Amino acid sequence: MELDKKIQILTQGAKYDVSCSSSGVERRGKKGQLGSAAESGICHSFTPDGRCISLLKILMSNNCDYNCAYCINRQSNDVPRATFTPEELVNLTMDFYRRNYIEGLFLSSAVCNNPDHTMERMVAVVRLLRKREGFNGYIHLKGIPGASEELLAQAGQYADRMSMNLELPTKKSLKLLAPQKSTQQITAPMHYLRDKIEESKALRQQFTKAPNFVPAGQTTQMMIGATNDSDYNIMTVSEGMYNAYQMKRVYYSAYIPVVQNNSLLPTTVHAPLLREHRLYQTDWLLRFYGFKTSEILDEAHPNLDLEMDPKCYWALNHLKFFPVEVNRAHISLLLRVPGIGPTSAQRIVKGRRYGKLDYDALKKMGVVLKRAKYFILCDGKFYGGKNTTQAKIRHQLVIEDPVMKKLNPDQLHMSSLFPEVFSSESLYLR
Amino acid sequence: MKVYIYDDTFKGYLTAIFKWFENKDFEDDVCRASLYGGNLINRPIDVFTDEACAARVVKGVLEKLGYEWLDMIHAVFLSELPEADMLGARAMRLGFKYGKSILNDERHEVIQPFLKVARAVKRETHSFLGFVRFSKLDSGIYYASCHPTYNILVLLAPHFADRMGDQSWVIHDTGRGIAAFYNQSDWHINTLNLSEPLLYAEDEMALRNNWRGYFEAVTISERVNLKLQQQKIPKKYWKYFTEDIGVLNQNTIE
Repeated sequence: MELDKKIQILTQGAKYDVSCSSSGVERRGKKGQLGSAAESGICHSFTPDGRCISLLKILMSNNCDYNCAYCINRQSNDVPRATFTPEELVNLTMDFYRRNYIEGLFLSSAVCNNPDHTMERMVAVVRLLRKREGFNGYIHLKGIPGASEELLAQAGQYADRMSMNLELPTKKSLKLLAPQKSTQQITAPMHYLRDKIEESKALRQQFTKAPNFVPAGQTTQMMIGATNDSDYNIMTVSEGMYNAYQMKRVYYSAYIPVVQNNSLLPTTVHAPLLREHRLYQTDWLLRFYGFKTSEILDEAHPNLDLEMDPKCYWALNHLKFFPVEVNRAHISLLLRVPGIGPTSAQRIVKGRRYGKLDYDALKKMGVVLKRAKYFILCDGKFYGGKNTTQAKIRHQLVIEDPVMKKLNPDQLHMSSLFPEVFSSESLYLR
Repeated sequence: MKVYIYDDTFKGYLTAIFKWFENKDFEDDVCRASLYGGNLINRPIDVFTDEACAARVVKGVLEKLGYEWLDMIHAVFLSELPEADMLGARAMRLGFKYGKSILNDERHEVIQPFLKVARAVKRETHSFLGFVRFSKLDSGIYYASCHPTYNILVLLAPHFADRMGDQSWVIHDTGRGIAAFYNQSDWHINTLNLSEPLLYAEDEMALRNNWRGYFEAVTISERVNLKLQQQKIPKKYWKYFTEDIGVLNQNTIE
């Protein structure tokens, strides 16, 4: 088979993996060798779907023995099959890297024969890259559930980041859609990687030359919308991932129904991309804003309000904390104000030492005032006009929501068009 | 009112700043030769680059204000905006007067535009670390052309010298007619105007096709959002890409 064809098949099989980040490790280049890694990561291109290309995201093979209902590479699906030789992959990576197309390699694979065999072949590729070619660029390696610990240990020496996909948020869903995988098979390697990463970190504090092990940490991904798990379930799982496994990221991938005859999967999903977006926003709240899942969602309110971002949703339900005076409030409280992010909160705290901050000063600092103005006082003044009740503020926030503005009408919910008819509480998906 | 005119180099700029501080008349202007228009009120003074003066300014900035400041002053200088020279000078004066943390006063009439320009230059530099596209030439040298808004070649070159340490490369700023050259040990910047078309290596076209194929295949057609793509890659950069930005290929839509 021609290389072009292989690239096409094995990329299409890999593209639903969300992660493409190349961040988390800073490595200078070595004399006479190729490659370095930048702490912040570098985006090299953006595809027509608006996602960044940072790594060469590709499968070793799509010849799968598993039959996970949601996956395009499942055994029973009629798609062309291909497999790379290690040599082909190594050359492709090096050639693309030399032209600055990519930041490194993100290698994944379908399960051929058994997990160990698959993992072995993947490790062979990264070993060739690191040892023979002296490649210092970024490598993200997908862990295959069920692969042995020895292989994970080898992989970890070469990879900057590794990831095991959680696939679905709950045990029950996994059993239903991916019967050949088990939760234990997925979490055991996560456990192992976490312990090894910590061990290597501790060692490196004592000996600077101690070998690195997955220095950019591990990530995971789950699919949402294919099963009826609530946002509360999903975010609780994510929070657990961050706390228990020190995940760098949890990725969410919206299930978009495509024509197929599988009674296990839903044929219509309401606003899948919007829901995915809101989950990411919640994820950010957990990681950068000091929120806990239980503050935003609970058993009684298990789903997010799709019409506004979760921070606005939280603020609206906690109006008793607002408005806050920007010239005095503690940074943790500033971070809770919709429209103020970590950067602008820092700027406010530093900037107010030089004098009182007014409305214009906040604007210059990058605060999104069209959201923030209902929740703050600038030197004692309120700029939200007459919008002081929950219902009125909600109406304004939905109108101003950057995502809602762009949506096509069929994703809009009636309550934003007729706010007075609907109560301000989130009716959505209850 | 005097205007200190220097030769468009960063060292020249620092020398001019030195004279500006020395004279203590802060109504005076500092301006690079290429931007100087001249009028009836101004008295132009030509400043000749003096390594010692420049070094003293650098030392002063590093000791009193720290590396972050020097970095920003350099970035603002590279923006080549008409107001850049005075922004840097005024910000530096404020820094010397009030201490380095004056940078936190984001609404200050000088600090605010100073930070804005510095951030814009750094943002563009970061984008170009990813957007530069090399092509392999017949001679084995990797060549890239680009036209950044700001004069950021000096900021790009160290990154690529570190990363592509084992290959010779040229990054050509076609808009300014200058290029960064790297010979596997050091880089330097010089003028470059191509008179003949480039000869590419044999496998270059095949690799470009591989890359285009990859680019098409990795797109998820259910999620197409060209507006978002354009937001991430401004149109002015498009023609320097190997892959086709801003269009949907037939294979993607199918």
